[in-house]
Amino acid sequence: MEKESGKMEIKIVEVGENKLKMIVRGEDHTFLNLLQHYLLEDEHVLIAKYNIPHPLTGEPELVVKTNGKNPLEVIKEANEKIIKACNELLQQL
Amino acid sequence: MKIEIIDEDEFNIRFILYDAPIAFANSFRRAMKSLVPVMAVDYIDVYLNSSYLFDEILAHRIGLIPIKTDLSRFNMQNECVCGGEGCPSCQISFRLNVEGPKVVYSGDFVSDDEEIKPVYDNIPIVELFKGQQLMIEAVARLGIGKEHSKFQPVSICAYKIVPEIKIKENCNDCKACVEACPRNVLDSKDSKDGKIIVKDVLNCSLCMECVKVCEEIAIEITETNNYLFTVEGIGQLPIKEVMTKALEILKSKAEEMNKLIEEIV
Ligand code: SF4
Ligand code: SF4
Ligand SMILES: [Zn+2]
Repeated sequence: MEKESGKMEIKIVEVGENKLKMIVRGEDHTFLNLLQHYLLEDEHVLIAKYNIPHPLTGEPELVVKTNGKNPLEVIKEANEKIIKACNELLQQL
Repeated sequence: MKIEIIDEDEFNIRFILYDAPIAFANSFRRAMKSLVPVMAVDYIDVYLNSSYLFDEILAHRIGLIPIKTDLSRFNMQNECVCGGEGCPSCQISFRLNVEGPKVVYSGDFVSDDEEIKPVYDNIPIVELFKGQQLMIEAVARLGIGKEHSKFQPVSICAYKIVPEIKIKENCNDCKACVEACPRNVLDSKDSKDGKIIVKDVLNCSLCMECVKVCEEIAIEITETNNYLFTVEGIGQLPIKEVMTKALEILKSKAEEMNKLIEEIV
């Protein structure tokens, strides 16, 4: 239960030139599905997928494969898009 | 992306989110339901309970009482300066000291703070008979809906796609679609030239009945990237604040992930 409201933690399991596998502790579909959507919008991304082995342990795995671009950069850009989208709506509320 | 509020009152809001990816609409919905923190009783001390209900049942019932929340004054317990021990900036206690015969209501709780109190005063907790007594101290803290549904700020939070209904030129005004529509979306009365008009597109459930009955294939229904949200709040937080907070939380998650990535690289 502690983990539920806890901070996000990331642990990189595998990293290469164009691929990345990392565990995003404490997150679920709420954030990861959004991230996956924005990752797939990027034309450099070949695969972006997450897997939640068990809903209570909260250790989803995110896999990103690109056509050569640094996958960490790609994730950062996707997050920037999320921030931009949220800001756009926050201005209107 | 654009938000347009259709109607709004104290507890309910309906708004349309325009031009958003469906993943965003869904994350927004999930964030409102499960990530916005609100107050609820999470711990009680029972000094005296001679009612007919067990302590545990009372604890459960008290936990479900919605409590007015002020997010600017309270921290999540695990992020608080006290380190989770409990202090005035992360928890608040209520006292209940009643004797029967009487029905105990949520309004009987005496709060330490004028502003932080149960949203409704008329939620029955237990009926006490003659000579029965309750002495309880209840401690409320902030929590999120993901942890327990008592921490949920909304009771309804749903969206549906707003369709685009097109009536083509070859429509022969047979009115079969008006008859068939179970939700009275289509109408021909109000229009001048007797043509079918779309009266209430927000009511459409995309059941496609109208398309099925139209022999001329003159009606076309397509999905759009606009979503009609229906949100009903419970009252702990104003509904607009729930929306703002949900977006802020999604944003902070993205920012946090970027920060963590930068730390690693
Ligand atoms: S799809 Fe169903 S609800 Fe919508 S207009 Fe057609 S018949 Fe009516
Ligand atoms: S059923 Fe088709 S042809 Fe008949 S009124 Fe409706 S849209 Fe026009
Ligand atoms: Zn504290």
